[in-house]
Amino acid sequence: MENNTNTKKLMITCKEATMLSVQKAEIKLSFQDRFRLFIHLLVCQYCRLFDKQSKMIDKLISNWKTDKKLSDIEKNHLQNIIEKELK
Amino acid sequence: MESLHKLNPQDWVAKYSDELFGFAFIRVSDEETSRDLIQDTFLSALRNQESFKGEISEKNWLYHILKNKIIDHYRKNAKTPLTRIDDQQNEDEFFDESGHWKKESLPNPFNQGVNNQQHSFEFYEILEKCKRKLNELQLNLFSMKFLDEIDSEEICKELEISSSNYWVLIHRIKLKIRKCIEKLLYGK
Repeated sequence: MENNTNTKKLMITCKEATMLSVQKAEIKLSFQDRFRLFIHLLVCQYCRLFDKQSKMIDKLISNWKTDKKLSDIEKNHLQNIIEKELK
Repeated sequence: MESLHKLNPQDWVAKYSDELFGFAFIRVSDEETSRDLIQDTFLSALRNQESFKGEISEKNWLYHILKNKIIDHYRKNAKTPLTRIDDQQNEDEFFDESGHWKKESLPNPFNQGVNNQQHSFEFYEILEKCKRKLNELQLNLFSMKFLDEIDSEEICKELEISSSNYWVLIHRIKLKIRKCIEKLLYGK
């Protein structure tokens, strides 16, 4: 799997750092990229906050529950369709 | 040996319709589309009863059919040309030319309580609103990646996008959603 930081430099930009934060949740970053991200997060409070919130958002999304329900009319309608099909 | 599961279509609506509806709604963010998906699921289940071998429960079988219907929905949406336009967006709304945060986009801490269980319902209302701000392609990507946890290779194949395009899109979705959550939590 590729990643988007092709630069060989140690210091990366916030744009690159947030990209690595996002990628890290899904793929294993190269050692260089992990190191670059680590250094960047040490010195940049904003990207550190982004990294933390990003993880939190992922976790909350995967536990997403809704209390949306079908109305009785809609349920009757579905029930009728099923009964008709069963005949 | 455990006995095989059986199908009782008469009970599907009462037993599973709300749950399946919620599952679809979280993913497609539209009530009407969700209703259509549930109806399609029941109909195709009824018409393919012979493919039910009883190894999994009736409920899991219905979920399996619904998931496939939802993937079809993502795929169909991805083909609509209109949904692609926004993504060759000219200007970066989050970073300047040197790759630093733009001043108005600097992340702020979320208000208290997002992590707290009691507040989670409020959080999901906010998340729902933020999700609606995404375009169709972003919405499908969001659901596939964060809700269905499909791996990126498969998503790229289904939506016919390249791997680098995928990451650019995911990056932007994450930035957008994060910013929107921050804004709505403060706006309360």
